[in-house]
Amino acid sequence: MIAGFIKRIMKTQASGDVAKQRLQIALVCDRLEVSKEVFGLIQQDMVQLLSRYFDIDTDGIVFNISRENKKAHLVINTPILRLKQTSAKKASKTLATAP
Amino acid sequence: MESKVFVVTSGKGGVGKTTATANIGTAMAMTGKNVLVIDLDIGLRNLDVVMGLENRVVFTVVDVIKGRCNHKKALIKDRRVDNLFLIPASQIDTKDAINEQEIRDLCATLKKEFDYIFIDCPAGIEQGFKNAIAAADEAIVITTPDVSAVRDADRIIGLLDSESISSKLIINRINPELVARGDMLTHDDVTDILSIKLLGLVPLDDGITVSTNRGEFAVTDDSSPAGRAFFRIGQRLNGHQDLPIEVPQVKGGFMKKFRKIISGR
Repeated sequence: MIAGFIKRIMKTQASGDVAKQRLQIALVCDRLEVSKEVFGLIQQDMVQLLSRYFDIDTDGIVFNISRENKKAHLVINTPILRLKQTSAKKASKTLATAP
Repeated sequence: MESKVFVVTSGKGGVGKTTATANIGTAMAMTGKNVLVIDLDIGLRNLDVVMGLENRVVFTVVDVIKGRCNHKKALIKDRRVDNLFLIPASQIDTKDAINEQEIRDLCATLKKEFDYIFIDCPAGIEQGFKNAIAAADEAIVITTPDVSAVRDADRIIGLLDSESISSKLIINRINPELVARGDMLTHDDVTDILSIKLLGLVPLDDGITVSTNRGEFAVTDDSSPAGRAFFRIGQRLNGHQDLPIEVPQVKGGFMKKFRKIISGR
């Protein structure tokens, strides 16, 4: 009984959570009618794009497709750690040189 | 009062559409409404046997649509619950025996006589599904907390949405013990994923097997947890939208729960 308890604690993730994650990814692909591979590429590109301007926590990033008024909405939720200094400088430079 | 047609649908088979149709329809009849349930699972007739009315089937919905009898002849009046009627499906025809316009015409006629009409939809997304949703004012989508049922429910909600039919969700066969130990999608997970309005949560209940065996309604049995949940769903559809949704809880005392947590069973 105790061994089973310890074994259960050692298990990394409850199967309910695994189910939720798998469903979320499957449904995003179903709703957009894109393959998992293409969706993976979109995710990569979005992460790259955002990373040009922000330090983001890539582990916390969530992609979701919601449906409203018969349209699919891509919602990206990402924890932003900070604005990248380089991009901030670049932005102020452009502002300063602007006529 | 404006009468209303609800379609009870799920995409996936075997998640409890027919049981839900029978029990929610009964719940609303118990509160004094005039209720009709129609089985549109043509070729795989089941609602009659779930309701214990199989020995009284003479005419079917296909007979009515094809003009072989007046719709009044096909109505089977339940003798236990007042104001509850069934029009059974035909067993010898197929889904292609009828079309969407015929269902719309039939429901327009029946709406004059009933407060609420519930349509038991076949599994799948083919012609049978299209027929079943053709006349629906609202949809009741049933799922269980399983990956396959939730995925199919999502597809169904999308199809209903494209027909401008709003849907509400029932999560059926929730096993609170599995939820408590993290081995079942929670109702919050499911509503998160599907993002539609929740109509009710129904616990897993052996009593459903027993009442179905006998052709009785769980909803008339106060000791059935699923029956009570279906009754409350009926009340919510019947104007009590704000009736709180009860989350199925683990039964038994503290020590039992504790032992379950420790043994993981």
